[in-house]
Amino acid sequence: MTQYVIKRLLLMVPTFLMITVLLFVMINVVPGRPGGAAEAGGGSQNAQQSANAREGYRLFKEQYYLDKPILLNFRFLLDRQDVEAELETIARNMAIGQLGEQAALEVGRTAAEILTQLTNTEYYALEAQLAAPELTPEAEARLRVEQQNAGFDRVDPIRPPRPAPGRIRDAENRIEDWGDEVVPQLLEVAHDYVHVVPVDAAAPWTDGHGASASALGISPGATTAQIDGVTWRVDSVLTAKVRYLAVQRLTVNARRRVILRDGERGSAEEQATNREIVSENNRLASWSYGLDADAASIAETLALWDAWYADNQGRFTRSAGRNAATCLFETRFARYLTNLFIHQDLGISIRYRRPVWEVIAVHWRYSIFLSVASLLLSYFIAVPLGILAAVRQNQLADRGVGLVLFIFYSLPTFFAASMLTRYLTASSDIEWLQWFPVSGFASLDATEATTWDRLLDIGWHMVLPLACLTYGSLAVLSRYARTGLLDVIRSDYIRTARAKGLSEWVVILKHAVRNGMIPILTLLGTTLPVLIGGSIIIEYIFVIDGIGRLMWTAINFRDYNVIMGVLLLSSVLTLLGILLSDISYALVDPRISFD
Amino acid sequence: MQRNFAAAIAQIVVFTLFCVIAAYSAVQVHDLQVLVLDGNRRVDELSTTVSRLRNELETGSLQIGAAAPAAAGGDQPYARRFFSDAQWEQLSRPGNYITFHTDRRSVPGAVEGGTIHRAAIADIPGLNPITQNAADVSDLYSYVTESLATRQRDDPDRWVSDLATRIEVNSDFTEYHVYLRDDVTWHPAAVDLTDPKYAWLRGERKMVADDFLFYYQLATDPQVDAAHLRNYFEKCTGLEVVNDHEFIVRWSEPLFTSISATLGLAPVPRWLYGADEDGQLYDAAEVGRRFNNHWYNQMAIGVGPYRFVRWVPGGAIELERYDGYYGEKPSIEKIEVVVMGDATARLNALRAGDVDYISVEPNQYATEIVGGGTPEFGEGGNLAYQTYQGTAYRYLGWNADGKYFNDRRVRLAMTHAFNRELILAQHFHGLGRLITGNFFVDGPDYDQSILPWPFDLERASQLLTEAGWVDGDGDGIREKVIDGVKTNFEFGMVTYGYRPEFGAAMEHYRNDLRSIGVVMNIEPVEWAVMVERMEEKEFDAYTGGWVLGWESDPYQIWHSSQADIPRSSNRVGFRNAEADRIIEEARATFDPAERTRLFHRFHAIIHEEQPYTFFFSGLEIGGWRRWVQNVNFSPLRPFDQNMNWYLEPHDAP
Repeated sequence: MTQYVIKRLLLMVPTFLMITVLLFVMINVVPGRPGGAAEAGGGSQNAQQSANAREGYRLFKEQYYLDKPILLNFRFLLDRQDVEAELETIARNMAIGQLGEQAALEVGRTAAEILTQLTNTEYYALEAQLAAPELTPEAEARLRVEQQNAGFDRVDPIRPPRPAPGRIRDAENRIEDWGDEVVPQLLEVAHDYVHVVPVDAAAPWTDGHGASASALGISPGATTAQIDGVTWRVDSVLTAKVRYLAVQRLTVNARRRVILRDGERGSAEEQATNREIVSENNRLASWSYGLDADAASIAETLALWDAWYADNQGRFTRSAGRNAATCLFETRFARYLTNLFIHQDLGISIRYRRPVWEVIAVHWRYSIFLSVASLLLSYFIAVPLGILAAVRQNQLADRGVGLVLFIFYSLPTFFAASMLTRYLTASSDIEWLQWFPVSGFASLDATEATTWDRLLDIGWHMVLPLACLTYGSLAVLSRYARTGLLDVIRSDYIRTARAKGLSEWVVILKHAVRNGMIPILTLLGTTLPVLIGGSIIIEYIFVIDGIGRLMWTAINFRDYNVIMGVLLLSSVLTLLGILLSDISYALVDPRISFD
Repeated sequence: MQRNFAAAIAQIVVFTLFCVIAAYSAVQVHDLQVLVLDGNRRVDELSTTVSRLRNELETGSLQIGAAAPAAAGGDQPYARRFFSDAQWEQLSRPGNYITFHTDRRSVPGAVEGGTIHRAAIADIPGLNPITQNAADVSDLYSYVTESLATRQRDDPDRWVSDLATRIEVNSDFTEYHVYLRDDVTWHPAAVDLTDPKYAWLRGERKMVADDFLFYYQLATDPQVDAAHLRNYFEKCTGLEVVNDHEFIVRWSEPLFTSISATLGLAPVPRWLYGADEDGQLYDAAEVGRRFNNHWYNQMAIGVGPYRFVRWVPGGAIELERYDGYYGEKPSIEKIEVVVMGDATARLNALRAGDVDYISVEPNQYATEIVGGGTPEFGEGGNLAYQTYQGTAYRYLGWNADGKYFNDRRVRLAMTHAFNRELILAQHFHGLGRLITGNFFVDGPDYDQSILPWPFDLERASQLLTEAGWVDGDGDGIREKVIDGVKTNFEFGMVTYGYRPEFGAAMEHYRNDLRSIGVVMNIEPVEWAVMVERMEEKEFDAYTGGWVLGWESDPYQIWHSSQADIPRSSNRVGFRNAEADRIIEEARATFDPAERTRLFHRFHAIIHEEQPYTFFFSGLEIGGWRRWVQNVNFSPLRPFDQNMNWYLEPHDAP
């Protein structure tokens, strides 16, 4: 037996791990993101402003590790091109006109308008007819159809295409989330990024691509480049913007992660380290230049970064071992597991900003009180009813009990609960039916009552919620009890007991029930997880602040850690419940053995 | 056998004795508890009487002998008695931007004392004064703390003195010199002060200028989770403390929003939020991060008329009148707020007398009040209700950057096809007023002379034809050639799926649109998803709502510079050069009349351009037990603040 239990317990570990992985991935890939964190201000055309406005959101992501990939981290594979692609997207969203682009655009727009007029003669002729003042509605509709058939071919002005808002958002988030894993790439981009475009490009905004000045063998300030013997033009505007953005990003991405979470005390030593990191981060924040800065100040800023990079090279050197470690451990999931198994910690609730343990503990006591009481109550009522039904099988009592319980079974809880609160509580219209309090776990002023009054008060408040939680399960349980007993009643030893001349009640209660209730006893084990599940409907209608309500808010809010915490607890309880019910089989029925 | 028998008897005797003793001690403990509680109640009653006497003495309603209170001279305003001579001199000297209250907290004839129980709707996650921006939390803080000055609740154009006695403003509103009251004390921290662990929190503390500096530092600290506040202070260049009772706020450019941002500054105590639980001050670089998860976040502190007492987990938040408050004290002694998420539960609790005031949902108004489902609301019943104008409005937004709604005529057609009057009456129980523009419907900037576009399907089809949308192939759906591709007029309407009345309204709209050859597909989504689609501008049209203030700056929602930003509030891509000019000009206009003139013009443009189909500004409903007296509402948040209500004596339920 002991061996069996140990084996089962050990088996639970991988099962639990699998459950954790599944839950974690599912919760994290659901669309939407935690609601408390307004991702404010990003996407701004001014990079500095944008970074400031986003700082709160970035810190929030860092705190909850939301900036890391979910399961596996392959960010060590990121190369310079990946970084460039995101920076180019953001650069294309930046305000036009800072670097003398405005005039060029104006010329392009005028040209496009003239071309459109020239290529759509038929359309514009009809447009002129439509402008006639004395047009009947029918004639107008006819002309419109003709105009449709004539077709229209707009010549678009040559204008830098602005990336889709979703794309900009992704770019901002991605480069932010990559954090210090892309610092070397950013530094390279800041030094020698050039955007080259074929001289005779049909679509100069899309045909170009980023390149490295040093690889092309040109100086960072060159205006043309030779690639495979062909001359390319350097797009100085986009080049300047991307380099500028790279430095802007460095001031954020080069920061180190603090070792203490917000609100975590830590030892004096940890606090000192934390302070050191924070002040270093603040120092880095100012090492940037404006878009209109001259070459000298740009060079000065880059020199600062080069010196800093040389000092901190260790942080950014890669090796196979380090990459493997990054891949497995620098992820949300690894972080969660470390927290869970090493610190026995379910993390911090995103919504309540308190440890998940604490939050669950506050709400759990209400749910557990309700569940335990309702469980006991349903067994106390259902089992005798089941016995009665079995003894009087197919008689009036059996049929009556069955009918009533199944009517209960089919009554929806929300309906029963609303009716009960409407007619049996202090809010009832009928005065002599105002028996119970409307809602709550206890009266608001219960803290100022004696212990005895308080117990009475809680009991009084719990009558209706308990009734609602219980009535639905009676049918199932009593059926189990009935079937269990019927199986036994037909066996030989019962006939023997009767033959001994024992009274019918002694036969049933002493001999039959003992064995007949084995299935129902083992059912008890599987109800364990209900203890934490709570009931959203009952808790809402009766205003009880239990786990059900907590879970509902957490789901709406995408409070990942709380959802995860509650689900994990209930899966542990499920596993334990199944084990317990197996053990209880062996305990009550000597014929079953696991050895 | 004999031994067994004796043993059994002994067992029974011992057990009986044990039971008797247990029962006896239980009864004793119970009696003792009754005594203690009775004593407590008497002490409470005594302190209530004392504070009532004090209050009556202060307000002058109680006079001892012939000695009339010196301050309440014949023609002096009532508010005079809450100022010392020096403070009053400061306030009434010319050049002060603010003036004194003419409203009162305790109306003549009000009954002193009592506890009001109120229901909050949304679960309250915490009480951090800066990072928590839920409406229920800021409503709670409106009792607990105050700002430099406030708009008077019954006369919102009047800025009246709370914590500041004097605010001098320079001519272009870029520098505010603030003089604080010197007699304001902080509430005691809501922890067990007898615990030696909290010894450092004992003693009375005065409110000083540094408390405002701390607020400003936190609100603008990028590390603090308060993006909602940073917008207001974007153009603020800093706050300079002159001495404990004076400071200067500077702004980089003239902006009319700087008035409400500056006058609305509230104090946050550095001695509490800048320290860890042992009283040790945080390092300056760390304060922001520590503040987000501060240890005091489940409690509140302030300088206002009520002090936070405690928050029973899963139960009520309790506030109590603060005896050390400098100004006029409200009549009601205690406020208890309990969270009730379910509307039916709230109404039931009101009927049972568990709570005294709730806000009633529109559908409850229809079935329970108008429909008579709750007869107590009727004549002679013990419940009362009132509707009042809320500041939120609802609209349909049209994506002007998309292919369907980039033409003004199409948007106007959509408005003409939307039977607003009927839908408001049928699906929203008539609880609202049709609107035509973006300002608060009862505020100064809303132009009442602009009338809503009428429901007119014929005009709508005509407009669509003009815009080039015609049914050429006779399939009953209009189409147009856009960039060489024939496109049917079939668009998606994103709605928030949890609001059934909006679904029904859109259903109605869909049928009307179909009759003029336009196909609308309703796309109900969950909130988290809706937010994402708005941010990425992945929609043709959507149903939305905004909550307004008494005055609002249209910049964030209507300026063209905001149209290309992914997460901006100008979701529909509204771009209009004249509107931009007005917005910029109005921001630097400090004469309210001139600003109103500009905004009326802005309203007219919005009405012409129809970037939204404006729908209605909703009415809110308050319901209360009749023993709550002097219930009144304000167009300012919190609309249903009970600061000047009072309770008639009644038996607790």
